[in-house]
Amino acid sequence: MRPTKNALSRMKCPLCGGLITDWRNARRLYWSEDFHPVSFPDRAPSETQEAFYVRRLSAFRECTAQQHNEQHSFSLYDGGHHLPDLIGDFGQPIVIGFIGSVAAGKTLLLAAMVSKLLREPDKLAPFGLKISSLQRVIENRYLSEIEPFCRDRQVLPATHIAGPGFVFAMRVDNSHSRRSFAVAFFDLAGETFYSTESAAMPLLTSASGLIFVVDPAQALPDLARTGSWGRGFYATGFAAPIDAIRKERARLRDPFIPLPAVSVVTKSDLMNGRDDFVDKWLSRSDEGELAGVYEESSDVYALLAARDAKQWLYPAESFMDVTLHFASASGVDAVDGVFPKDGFGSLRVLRPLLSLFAMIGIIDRRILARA
Amino acid sequence: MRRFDPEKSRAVFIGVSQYEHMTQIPCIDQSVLDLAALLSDPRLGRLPSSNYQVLINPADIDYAGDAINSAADAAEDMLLVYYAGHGISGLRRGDLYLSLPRTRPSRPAFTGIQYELIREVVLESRAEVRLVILDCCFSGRATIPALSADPEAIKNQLRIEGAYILAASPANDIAVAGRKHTAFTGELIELLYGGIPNSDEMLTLETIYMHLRRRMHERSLPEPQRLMTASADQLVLVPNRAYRGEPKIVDARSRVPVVSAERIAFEQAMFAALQERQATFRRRQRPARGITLFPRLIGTCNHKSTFLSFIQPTVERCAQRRTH
Repeated sequence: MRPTKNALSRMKCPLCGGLITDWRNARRLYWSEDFHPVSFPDRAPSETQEAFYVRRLSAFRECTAQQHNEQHSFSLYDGGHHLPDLIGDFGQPIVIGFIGSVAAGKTLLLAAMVSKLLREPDKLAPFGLKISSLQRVIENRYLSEIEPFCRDRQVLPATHIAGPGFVFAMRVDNSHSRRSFAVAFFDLAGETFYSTESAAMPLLTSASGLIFVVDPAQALPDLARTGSWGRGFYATGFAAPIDAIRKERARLRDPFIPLPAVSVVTKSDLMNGRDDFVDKWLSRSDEGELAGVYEESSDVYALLAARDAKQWLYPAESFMDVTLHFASASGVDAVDGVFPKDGFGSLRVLRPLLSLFAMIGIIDRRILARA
Repeated sequence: MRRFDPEKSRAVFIGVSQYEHMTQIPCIDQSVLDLAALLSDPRLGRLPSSNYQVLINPADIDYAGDAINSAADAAEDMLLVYYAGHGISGLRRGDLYLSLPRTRPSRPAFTGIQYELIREVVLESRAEVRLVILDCCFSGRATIPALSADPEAIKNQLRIEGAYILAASPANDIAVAGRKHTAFTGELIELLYGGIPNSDEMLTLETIYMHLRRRMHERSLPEPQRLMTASADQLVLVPNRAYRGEPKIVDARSRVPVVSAERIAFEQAMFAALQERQATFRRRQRPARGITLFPRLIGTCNHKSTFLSFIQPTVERCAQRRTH
């Protein structure tokens, strides 16, 4: 696959939000076996573009953002702040973030999405999408982290508050529009979303698209089949990030924030058999389609609004482009840290991502308009 | 699902609690007696006293062998062989020896009963359903299909219909003794006698196994194993004493507060209005008319800064060309 020649010289760092003014000439590095940064050998005249591209899949570049704030750094490694070398080759990188309360299921939802993207590429074929690697170190590390969930059906540990944030990156090629995109996902601990002063805010405000995760055990305790949370009023974890994003990305008089977002009622299997809307959507096998997205959004909105969970609709009422979805990362509830074999499997996790891709522009937006 | 015909069925209950060369298991006597009493109870198993034999501490293999052979010959509907005692594993995969009072653990082949012998007798019986229950250590070995180099032999083995083997423990695990009964037989008796709430009117072998397994798992005891061939799992062993009429269909929705259709319609209308306002705002956000000339960029132009970031490489390339 030939690399594109669109490498940016100025780029907004997807980690710190600062402006990198000379990305094209930023120093290339790779990590030695003992995890020390080593200068990356330049392309020799005898080396083909393709071979150089393959080598670059293991390279990083240092972030030289002028507005970089040490307190707000979410570096991949201690003492550094590095980005995949190829991230600037496809225009401004698309950064997608997950926002939700503690234990809402953000990490599992991302793991299920990535697993589905890699395992079932045929679901993306109708949209002309093809997924490939952007940075092998990040990819391998992330896949090894989610392996216990995907292979052994184990519950993943809670995301560390001081985690790296930016966890997975991939290249997305759209054969219909003949464009390529660098897409990065960040996953932060739920605790970081409760304060506008959180160190995670610069990362959030520079995102290209957001996925808000609604846990029905917290939002709809009457409906969800679980005893782990019970009744009560829970903080959504949505307010502080949305307020911070509004401050950065919208003008005062704007009624909506000009940014695409999806709201996903995850763990929907907990409500299966208890609500007509949930039954209707979970019974459909429309994972790789965008048909009926607005109808689904309307149903999710009505479900949450009619059952006094309107605070969970703050994203739907704040962003310019929003769709709402039912999904389940595991398909079943965990018992003693392990998901039972019967019924295990993600449900409709790809649909919110495809919808977000369409709103961002990775997929032709007209597909969404026809939905 | 069908009940076994007590008149055409035979059962042998063997229990070994006293040993000369191994530790004693006093609770086995009561386990065997209670299980036999339960299956002969007119309200439960209905097995006539003439149709079953209880052997407690049979002195030698002949005595036990005769009882099993005669039951296998006479049984037409169900043949049940139950054994509780020390199980001894052999060297080969699947080798299992059932001990007798004088069995030496170092020489089980000559002093105990090789399970393979029982298996052959049971499978050769003309009974419709052949049920073997083993409550001993390593009894899961009985649930491993015998290996053979001859594929035909394996096929023949699998073709035998109506066999169900229920073992107290996995192939490499011990069975646990209790105060009154052994752990496995105690749970089995409790389940057969007490029944299973919210279950069917009759308890089939498979229902019994599934609940037994769950209960043993909950108590952190070795999980029972089973090997079955077609149709055997649907045999009814006893009626369900916990059955209370037709099972009530509990509608989970009944516990969920009802939301009126009007409220739902109202909220959907609210969402439609919200979408309309969002669409209006989106239209206002379009940066410039000329952008639609580039169809590949449609969808990326929702916001001016996003759009500019997408066209930035092209702009930079043009600028570079100009400088050169």
